[in-house]
Amino acid sequence: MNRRSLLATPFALPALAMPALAQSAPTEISIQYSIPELFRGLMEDVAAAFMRANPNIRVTIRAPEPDYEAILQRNLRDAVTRQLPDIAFHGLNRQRTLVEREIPVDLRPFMAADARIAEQGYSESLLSLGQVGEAQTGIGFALSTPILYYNVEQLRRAGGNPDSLPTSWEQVAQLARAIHGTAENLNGMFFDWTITGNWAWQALVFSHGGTMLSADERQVAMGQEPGQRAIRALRMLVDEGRMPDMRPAAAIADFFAGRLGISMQSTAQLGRYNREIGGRFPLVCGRFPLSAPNARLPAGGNVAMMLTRDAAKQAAAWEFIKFATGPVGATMMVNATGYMPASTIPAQREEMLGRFYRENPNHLVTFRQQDVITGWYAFPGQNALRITDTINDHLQSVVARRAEPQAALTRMAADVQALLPRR
Amino acid sequence: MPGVSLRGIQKSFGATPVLRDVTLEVLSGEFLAILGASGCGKSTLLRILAGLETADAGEVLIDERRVDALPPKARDLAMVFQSYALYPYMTVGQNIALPLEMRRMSPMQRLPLLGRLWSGGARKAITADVAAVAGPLGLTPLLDRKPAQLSGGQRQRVALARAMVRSPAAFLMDEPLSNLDARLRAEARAEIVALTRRLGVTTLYVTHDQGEAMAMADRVAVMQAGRVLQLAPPQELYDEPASLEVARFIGSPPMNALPAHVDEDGAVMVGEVRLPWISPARGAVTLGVRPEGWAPAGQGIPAMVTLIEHLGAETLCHLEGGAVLRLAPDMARGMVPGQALRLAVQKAVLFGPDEQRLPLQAAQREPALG
Amino acid sequence: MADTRRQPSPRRAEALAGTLLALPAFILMWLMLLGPAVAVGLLSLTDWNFGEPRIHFAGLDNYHEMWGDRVFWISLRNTVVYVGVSVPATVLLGLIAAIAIESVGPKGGLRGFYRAAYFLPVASTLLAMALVWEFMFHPSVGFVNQAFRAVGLPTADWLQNPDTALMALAAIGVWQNLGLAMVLFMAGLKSIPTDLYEALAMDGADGAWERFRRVTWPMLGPALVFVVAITAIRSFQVFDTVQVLTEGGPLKSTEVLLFTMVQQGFTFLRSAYGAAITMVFLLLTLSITLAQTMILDRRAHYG
Repeated sequence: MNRRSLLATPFALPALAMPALAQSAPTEISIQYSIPELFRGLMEDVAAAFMRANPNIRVTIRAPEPDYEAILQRNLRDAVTRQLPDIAFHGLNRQRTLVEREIPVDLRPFMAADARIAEQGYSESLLSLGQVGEAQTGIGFALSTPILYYNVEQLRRAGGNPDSLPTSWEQVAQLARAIHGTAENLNGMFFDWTITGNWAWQALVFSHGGTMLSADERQVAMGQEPGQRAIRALRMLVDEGRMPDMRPAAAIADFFAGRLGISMQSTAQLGRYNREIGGRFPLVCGRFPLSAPNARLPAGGNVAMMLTRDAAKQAAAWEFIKFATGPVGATMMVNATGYMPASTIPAQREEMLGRFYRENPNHLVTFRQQDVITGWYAFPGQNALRITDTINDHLQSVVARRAEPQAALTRMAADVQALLPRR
Repeated sequence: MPGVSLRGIQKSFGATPVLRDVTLEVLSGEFLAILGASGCGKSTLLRILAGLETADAGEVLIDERRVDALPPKARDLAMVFQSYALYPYMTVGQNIALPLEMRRMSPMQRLPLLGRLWSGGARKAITADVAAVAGPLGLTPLLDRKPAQLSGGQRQRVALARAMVRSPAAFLMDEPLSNLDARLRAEARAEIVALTRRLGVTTLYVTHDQGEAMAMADRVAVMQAGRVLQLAPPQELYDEPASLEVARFIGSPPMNALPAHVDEDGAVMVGEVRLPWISPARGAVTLGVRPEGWAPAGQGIPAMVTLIEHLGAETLCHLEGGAVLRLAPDMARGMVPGQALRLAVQKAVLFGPDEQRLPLQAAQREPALG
Repeated sequence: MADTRRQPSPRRAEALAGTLLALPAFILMWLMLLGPAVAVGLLSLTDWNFGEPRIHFAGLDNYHEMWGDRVFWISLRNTVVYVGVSVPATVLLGLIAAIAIESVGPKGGLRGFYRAAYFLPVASTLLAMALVWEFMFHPSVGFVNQAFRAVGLPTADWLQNPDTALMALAAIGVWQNLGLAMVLFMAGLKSIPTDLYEALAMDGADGAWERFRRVTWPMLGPALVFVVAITAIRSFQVFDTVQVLTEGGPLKSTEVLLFTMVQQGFTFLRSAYGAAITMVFLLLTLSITLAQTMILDRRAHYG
């Protein structure tokens, strides 16, 4: 199915081109998303705005799933029972699993056939985040990168300067240690290595110039020199930075309460951090330290994915995807969350997000990291998700100081190698 | 010599008095039956003696030693329960051996598993004693079985064996035969009497069955509503009941109670018929006549036959007014319901208005007239 | 001759009627119990991953993989340890509680209160209770550590420490099953005839220990076997607390069979492999049930 065949269908063209005429036969599409605490209000607003602009298309929102794992399972089940939503928003690193099961529809033909695609303002690097192999699996809706959140009060008390934040993990560790030393019952930092899909570990390895696997995906590459530096950096945060081995939820709560100085988290959490801190102390965001010339950072967040195979619904779904990920949807999304959009247009326009970014420089940090952004890596084969769990265990043993970094990395690499598909 | 004494025992369950001042002296070696309907307090009395209940008032003595404050095991009594109360998870042999183990072996020797290491000698002696008591009761082939594999009669004998295996100061038996069928009960009755006689141990035997009590006991204590009505050898109980209550309770069919009076001369009259006895009492009395204590005669008390029961060895003639006449089958031949009779009383007891027995003497002058 | 022809017919009719009457139960049993078990068994012989459009027969590959799977063995070991700790503790504490409550006597209605109090955890949803326990085990403000600190015992971050997490979960398991064990024991205690204790007293034993050892304990045999079997099966099924409190961690220290199964089958999407683990799990619970039936048939019935 591509744009040309779509145009050939008798109803699709009038429906798209002349909404008023098509009112008698509205097209219905269903969408599904996850993480309602971040996206519920936003999705409802976007759908409402879309329907106002496209009165011939009715959008129904399915009950959201709690997280990326849950919506993945839900849609896999739906695929078996043939009850898939027409559009779903999936985590970047879940695209591969869905593609392996032939669930998403390739968006390349729609883009190629759409004369007004340029008006969307998609940046090539951000579009690449929705690609698996040759296919455009999805289009980035809400994208994030890892950053460091600093409590400015504690930063100052420890002798730091919010205008010159640390640029290396050594500096971060020193600052954390200094913060830890300023008061009882105060932790310097927490690096949330538990974020789903080994996101934080990928960030550490990529930012040291490494990769998870070799280019042909047959050999584990994380055990090489960049990975070794990455795991040592993690342990240094524990040893030198006095990072505690605690649950991330507790650490985040501590940060909100002013009992934690530095928090490594996704930019996705920025809106929540602002809300929860509520101005009790000034918050400043800093870049994730890049530790190699070829450093990269994995993007987080989700893409809008087309799942329907019905031609009329596909046409309507494509309109919705464009709306949600385009300038209008992107503006709404940024205002509601800390994510960044795949469209570059809103940031350039004063009436859209230009002013917002100027007034909220913390939101700009992730924008500045765009140049090093890369995909959220998903492992190949049937054990993809299990590999994630295995890596987590080894990371934990390092953070809990139950294993030496090098030994843990060696075992991690071996375990992951054993779980890769044998060809 | 008294074997067991219960003196002035009182007991209430809540507000319900169960025993009201019961005193019993049981002679050493005596077989004493406590007879009463259910609820009369006889089992409670036995349990107080055993130490399973405590009396509200009164004294309990065993071999003239006060035992009120002692726990059951210190009273040196053995009890046979109505349900037998055999330990279902132990073999017959273990059931019989337990009282010996508890008395002869130290706590160390009784330890589970480990105790076996240092109790060999004691255990051997116990096994021998168990075999000695099991043999005469026919339990030898059953020693390795569990109670569930035994018949009712066999279980009853195991319960007996468990009581007998050591020589207690007294046996207490609480309706031990009530769960057996009639034929077995008759057998077991003789068996128990023979065994207790042979051992010569004081035995208290609680039963509601007067046949058992009369057949087995040296003396019978008749209880009712928490009191002992009479304590006497069976024949005396039958012939000379102390009160109308006892008279009604003992014997089947019970003693006939005929309204009577004593005239100024002391002559005992039933209606217009003068009986051959005199009494120091005067006025309205009750004459107690056993069904076999009177017989048809030419003259005597008038009566009318309402129903005739031929029981084989005897015939019972039910009379108008509820009295009963017991006859040898020969004598009853030709008798029909509706027939009018005259009955001559040969043997009787007299009860006053308070239902207690009154003295009765044979009249000097006249021969038995009826 | 005619008789012999007619004879089998009523018998056949009877057999037919019997079959017809048993049919609904038979169908339901297959539909609800055996059918799914067989389906899971068949699934375990394939290579199917959740959501995949294709399925292939894979023989015993999944079982072979399981044999070499470190996590499976850790999970099995943890499960056995969990059962091995929580079952004896549940049985022992349940028995003590039952005897204690029975000895309180019926006065004052306290017995009913205790019974309800102990039984409450059995009836409540463990999911909600798990959150309470998470708070109880909180390293600084949790009740457990405060109590331990008060009496000078060492404290720990119980659920976060790989050395203590499984035991902490076992403690919750004991707490949860205690009431059930207690109620079953109380029913068992009630069914002991009092004249056995009286016979024992007459036989020369009336101390608490002798009463327990000679009558209570052996008479509780059937109840004990049942309690052990039911708490063992319930312990084998431990999942909620793991899912809510530890997610198998830290460092797989609370990875238990059911959790591994769910994780493989649903989180990791390895449906066929999860099915294979389910078969092992079924085998284990089945063997407990069989053992219980056999022991009860052989020994614990006193007729």
